[in-house]
Amino acid sequence: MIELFDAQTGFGGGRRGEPWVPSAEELLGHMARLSVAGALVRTEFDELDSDPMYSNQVLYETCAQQASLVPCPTVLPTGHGDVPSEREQIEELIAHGSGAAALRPEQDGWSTAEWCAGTLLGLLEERRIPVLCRHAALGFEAVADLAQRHPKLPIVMFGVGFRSQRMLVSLMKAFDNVYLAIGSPYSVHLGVESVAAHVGAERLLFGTGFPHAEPTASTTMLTYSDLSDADKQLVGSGNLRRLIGGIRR
Amino acid sequence: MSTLLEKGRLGEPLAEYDIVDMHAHLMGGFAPHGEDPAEHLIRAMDQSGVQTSLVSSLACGGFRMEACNDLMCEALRKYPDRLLGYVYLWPGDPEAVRAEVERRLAQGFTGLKMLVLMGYPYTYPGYAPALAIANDRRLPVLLHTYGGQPGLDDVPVLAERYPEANFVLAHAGAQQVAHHLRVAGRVEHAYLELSTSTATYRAVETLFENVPLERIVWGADDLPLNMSHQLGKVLGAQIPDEAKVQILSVNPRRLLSQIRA
Repeated sequence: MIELFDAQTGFGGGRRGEPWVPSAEELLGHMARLSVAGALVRTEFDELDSDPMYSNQVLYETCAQQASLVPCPTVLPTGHGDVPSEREQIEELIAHGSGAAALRPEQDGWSTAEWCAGTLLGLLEERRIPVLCRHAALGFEAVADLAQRHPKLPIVMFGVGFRSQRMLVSLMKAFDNVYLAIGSPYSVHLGVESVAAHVGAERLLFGTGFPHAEPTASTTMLTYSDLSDADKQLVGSGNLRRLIGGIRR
Repeated sequence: MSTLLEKGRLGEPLAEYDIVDMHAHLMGGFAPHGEDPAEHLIRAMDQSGVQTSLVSSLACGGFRMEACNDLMCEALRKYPDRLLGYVYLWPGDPEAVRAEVERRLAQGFTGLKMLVLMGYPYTYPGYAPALAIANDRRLPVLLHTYGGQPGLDDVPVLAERYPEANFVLAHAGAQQVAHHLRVAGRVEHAYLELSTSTATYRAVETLFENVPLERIVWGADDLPLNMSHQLGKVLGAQIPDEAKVQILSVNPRRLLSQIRA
């Protein structure tokens, strides 16, 4: 059986007008049902997450109790000082065994421009900490700009829809530090096969999209794909493990 | 014996279940230039062992009705054991629509496909001749119907005018599921089809809990979506395996068996 490590999931966040706040237990239940070995977890849903530093603490505490959950805290520029310094955030991230950092510039009120985020992005790049970016929050132009300015920074896009395949492959061809997490809504006709053929299976990371999505959808997209077993294994968990292993702790 | 979820997790073939996909397309933009979209669709079906897809062609631009259906006709001839065809309709000229439907049914097409995204409501008079034929023949009529968007509220109107046609409501549960549930509650010959790129969490379970099971069918919307991704929503749904088989095979086969010659 291909080992799976979910790069696109989370728990503990709220959504407008919806009482359900997905819990770590629910995520773990789905992981057990689908034999998913591990998960890189963010605060999800994130749309009402107005206090990322508090949410990070919740994430760290929960992950400390569950060996299969690896935190992916939110980081942001210090700006006027309402959050710890960039260096302190990175040190804390490392200290808690995190596997990546989430960037949410629009939601958290910052710009990826160098004058605003240069220190943060520079530190992340120096440490080779993968950053996760939701496509709706950071479009192709912004990711391209980021990838060009910080070529050693692994950038993992997620939430890419089926209409964007042309742009996606062009971006991934242009910047070898851009990766794609294939969780829903990424549902593209033979899309995984196409990306792998153009840029290599090493650039794809398994993800489910839970709690937005039913986690089995992306699972069968991978298990039934035309990729070789070796490539399925890379996408399923190998690539994410390699990226996490590359963090300079 | 493995459950359907286990089979999906392992990538095991599902050919024994005689799965019918009620929603597929031939279209540009997703297969490499020069490659046959029908061949690509078959490749996607073969990944898991989907037996049959009901397909409409949008490959030539949605306003070129005859060209689209010509391409579909070629695909039906090439893959007669795997593909069934929806006649795609562009409703500008009612007489052309009537002639197109009669011609395509004679060529072996199976149902009708209408797309509200082309700018015409399903109640537009240009569609009427086709719907009258669908009513006479009890054909499946596939309608793009996202919850909260134009199109879905046309269905009760059509259902009253054409009580013998079987309406297949695409993208049920993708968003604003209550909208689909309201319409399904009013129209007994409406079948809810499950395709959506978002694979909305618990959508299948919500429909299962609120709609008679015999009225839920599966479709992949491949191309452009990913067939194995769409299949996973059903394989992984927290409903009994028997219900999954009914959605994937029994219900669509029953719907197809109702077609009158």
